[in-house]
Amino acid sequence: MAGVEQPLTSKGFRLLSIGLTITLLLTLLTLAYSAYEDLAYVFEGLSAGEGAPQLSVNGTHITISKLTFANRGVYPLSIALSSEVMLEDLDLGSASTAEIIIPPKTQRQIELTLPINLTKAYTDYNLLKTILFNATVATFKVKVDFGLRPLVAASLEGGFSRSIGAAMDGLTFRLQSVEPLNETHVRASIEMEFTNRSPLAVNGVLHASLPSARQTNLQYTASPIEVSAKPSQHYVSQLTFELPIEELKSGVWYALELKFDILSHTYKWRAGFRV
Amino acid sequence: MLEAPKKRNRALMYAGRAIQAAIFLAINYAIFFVAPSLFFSMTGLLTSEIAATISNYFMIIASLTILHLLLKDHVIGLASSVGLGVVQALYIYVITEGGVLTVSYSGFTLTLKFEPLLYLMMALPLVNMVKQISDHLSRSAAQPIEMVEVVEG
Repeated sequence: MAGVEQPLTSKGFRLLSIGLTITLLLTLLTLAYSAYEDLAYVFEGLSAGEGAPQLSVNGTHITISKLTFANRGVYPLSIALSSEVMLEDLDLGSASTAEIIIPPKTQRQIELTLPINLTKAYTDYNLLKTILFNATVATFKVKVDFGLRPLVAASLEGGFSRSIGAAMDGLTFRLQSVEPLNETHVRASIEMEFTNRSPLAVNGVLHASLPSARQTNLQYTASPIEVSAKPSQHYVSQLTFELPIEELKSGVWYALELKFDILSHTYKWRAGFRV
Repeated sequence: MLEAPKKRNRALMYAGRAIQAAIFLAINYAIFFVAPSLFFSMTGLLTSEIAATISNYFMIIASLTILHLLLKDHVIGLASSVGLGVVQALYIYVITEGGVLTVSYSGFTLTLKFEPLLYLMMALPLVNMVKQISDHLSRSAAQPIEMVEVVEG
């Protein structure tokens, strides 16, 4: 039987098939190499403390800075970052970077500033109360889009929650001293103290008044205090009332009426102290 | 008298094809069973559903590979080779979820999109399938003619 020579189309398809196989193998190998090199850089940097981002909170902004990426692979590396901050269920702010393309064998530094709109929290009365007096949960969500262009695109999405302490943690009022002013009146100094356990600065004006124990619709007012407490600061101040002598009786609890003006919003509450 | 060598030749031919089928079966086992099973178990994505999909597709691929290689010059062989190309391409598409894979780990979700790579992977069996059809068509169009010498006398 005579042999049949392979037709030209068959040879063409064979060549195409071989070409595709080689292309696929080379692509997979270079992709694996690039992914390995880029990930190795990230993990080496993180373990050595280099290229690790610095996170700073300044009251109204969260800034992620000095986030360094080096592309040691053979494909251009594209990176886009976006983040979001939530307090309980309230969205306080979000930010994102444009797509950053890092050519092979180069490195870039990325900075992301996230504005936090605290007025949103202050307009929510219940949330404001929680921020001031109770620990809250802040959620920081981050999304990183990266890819080895044009073959692979990946998206890493996640977040972490952090418990934030109360801005006016352990707020207490204590009668510190009572000094006679004249025959009919005394000056009562009430010490106020708290610790700012939140990462946000507390800045506001505190108005305090003391309802008369003897007469309805009569209130004694103290001079307003400008409260300014940085994160982690233990704040101590004094409220001074000028009262008739007969208003203060030993062993009796008194209720202070308080108004705190913070970022054009007012939170009212009552606090007690004992004479 | 000529029947015995013919039978021996046929037996040798099928033995050769069986060896070829065994080799291709082993290659297909590595590519279409071991590799995806390893990948999915390493990424923690191996569910019973995925394991069943891998096994089912591999059974079909294995059967079609054997049929295609044993019955090369038969129309069933051609049909098997066309089916094999389609099933392999479909399997690659199904198992990679259309080139979009999602892995979740301790609150983080990683989504991997590799459509260009997927099309490249799918192109291989499809090109092989077209090659088989083209080969079959050209074989039937150019059947060798056996010249028989007629001795008159």
